[in-house]
Amino acid sequence: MSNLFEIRIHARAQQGANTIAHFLAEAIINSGKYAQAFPYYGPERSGAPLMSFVRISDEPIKIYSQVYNPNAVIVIDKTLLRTEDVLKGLDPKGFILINAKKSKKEISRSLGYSNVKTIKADEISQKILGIDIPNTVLLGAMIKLIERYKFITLDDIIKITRQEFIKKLGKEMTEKNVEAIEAGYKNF
Amino acid sequence: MIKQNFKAITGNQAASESMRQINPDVVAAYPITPQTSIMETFAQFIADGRVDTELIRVESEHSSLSACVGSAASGARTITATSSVGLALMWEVLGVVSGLRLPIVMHIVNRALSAPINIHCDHSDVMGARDQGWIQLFCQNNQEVYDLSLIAQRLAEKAFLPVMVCQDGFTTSHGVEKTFILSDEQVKKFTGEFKPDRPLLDTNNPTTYGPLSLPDSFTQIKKQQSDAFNNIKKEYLTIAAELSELSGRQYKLFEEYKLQDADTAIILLSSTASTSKAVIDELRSQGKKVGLLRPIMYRPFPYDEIAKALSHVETIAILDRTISFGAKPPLYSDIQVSLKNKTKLQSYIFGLGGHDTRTDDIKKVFINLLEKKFLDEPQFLYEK
Amino acid sequence: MNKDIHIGAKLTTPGSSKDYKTGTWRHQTPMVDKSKCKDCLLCVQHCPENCIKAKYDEMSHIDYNYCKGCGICAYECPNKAITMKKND
Repeated sequence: MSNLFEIRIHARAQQGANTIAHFLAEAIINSGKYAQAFPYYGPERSGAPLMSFVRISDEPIKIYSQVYNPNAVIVIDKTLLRTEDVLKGLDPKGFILINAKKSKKEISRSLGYSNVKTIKADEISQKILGIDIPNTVLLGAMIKLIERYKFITLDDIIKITRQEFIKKLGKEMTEKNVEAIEAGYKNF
Repeated sequence: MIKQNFKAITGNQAASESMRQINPDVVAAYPITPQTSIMETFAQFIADGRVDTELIRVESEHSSLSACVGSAASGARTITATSSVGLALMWEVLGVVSGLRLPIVMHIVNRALSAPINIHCDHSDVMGARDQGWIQLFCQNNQEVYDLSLIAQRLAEKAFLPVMVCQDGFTTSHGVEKTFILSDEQVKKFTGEFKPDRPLLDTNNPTTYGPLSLPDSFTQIKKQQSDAFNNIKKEYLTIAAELSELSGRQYKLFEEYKLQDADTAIILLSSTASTSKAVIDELRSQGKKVGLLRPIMYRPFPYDEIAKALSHVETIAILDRTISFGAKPPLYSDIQVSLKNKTKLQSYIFGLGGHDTRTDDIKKVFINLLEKKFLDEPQFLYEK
Repeated sequence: MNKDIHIGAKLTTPGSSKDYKTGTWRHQTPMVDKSKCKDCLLCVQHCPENCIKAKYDEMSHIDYNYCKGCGICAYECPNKAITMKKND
């Protein structure tokens, strides 16, 4: 499959991993490419670790297994760094984006991996949304980090976010999430 | 390519979108993972006034299908959905639906039966019900969930037989994919109005449903049902052809992928078959003549048609996503009957309880076939 | 492939659920202010995980290895001795 780009997201249930995977896939599909976004659940309970996967391609995607060799990994909950093998199968040229307060250098050292990107998404989301749900901040950050592949633009994601959130969250909270995405984007 | 709208939706949303456009009279359903989001989405459509459906909230799946029996017998277009042990709980009623010739369409989001408890995908739920007189269609992706729902609705109402539209739990049900959607008007026109057979609410033609049948009549009734069941293949193809005029997408009884000149092939259902196509592409680029046959209609089983499609294939592996305890697995058994034992067959069991099947796993199957390694017992497909 | 599974997948080690430290699932952690605690033991009774421990008739401690942070103890405490703190 040409130009297959795969992302694995590590999170706990209820942290919004599936939401950002869904938005990414939707934006990519709307732009004319092909994408998949799907979860893998453990215990069905808030707080239990899960993985969310995204596949991006120029051609229809045939594969339905989980992502084993991601080009990029996102870690929404840093406590998972202790319990999950977040680097498993990561492409040697791939990057890992982590929601963390610690410095990139510290985390890089403890993980034993150099291509680490960190962002204080809890802090940023607390400031903008009034609540530390970091998923939209990380979404914005991710958009910036994969920008060079020209899959989608920041505007594509903002459009989807507005469309999908408006009914559930109302105008004010939706716009705050857009702001959170932009903050994540500008961080890199 | 016919210009159509598309949406980025999950398999469950594809099911509920087709339900929205069909706008059934009644839906009676009970939540169960991984079917739940079909009903959550559909309940939102009802709350938003986008459908006219009467939703009956029941206390169990036995009640949901029982309520559907009452509804369909009354003459209401009735749809429901379930998974796994939910389907098992309605087992008693499955035969009632098919015996009464009620055209109920039921979405089954495939999930393993218990015990032990498992919420992930395998085909034990519907395979356990394959003899109950429900047409069974298997979808490999969200597009097929949408398209086959529409075909199922027409087929059920033409043949007066119930249909199970099956999709892999979590893999497609919770996976977002690009899905082309027809317009509401197109679907309305395609499905048309439900013309029930002697509905209970037609008081001008009083009818009794569900009589007692003694041994002297029972066989005749069952044979009538069986004959009707076996004769729906042509109807399915006609309806599928009509849908393809609108959508540009073709559906036959089964899909043949690079099978025409293949000497080695695998046979399996649903999304894992799609994964297998990536392996076939790779092996083909290495000059191996490999292919795939993916049944879409599993019940009634198209024995002759499949035999014809496989007549030139020398070695075949059949991958079943369930165990038939004490016997060879279901799909393997049906293929064996189809081919009348003329071809060398290898049985595999895979993906139980959601066990993920990777391209490497499928590649192993092909390598064993190409090296002509055959074993009598069904082989379990996982890393030892 | 696990070779040590008993037939019927019956779990043969009593109390084996203790091995699964679900405390890692917490988003928020109950903090106890003992000065406000009147030992009514409502929190002990209500905890769905049975991880708030009483010693004789006094509230002893919360076992954070298993506490999933549901917040029921904080909700039920009539003296507001338990507050939920967001995890770091």
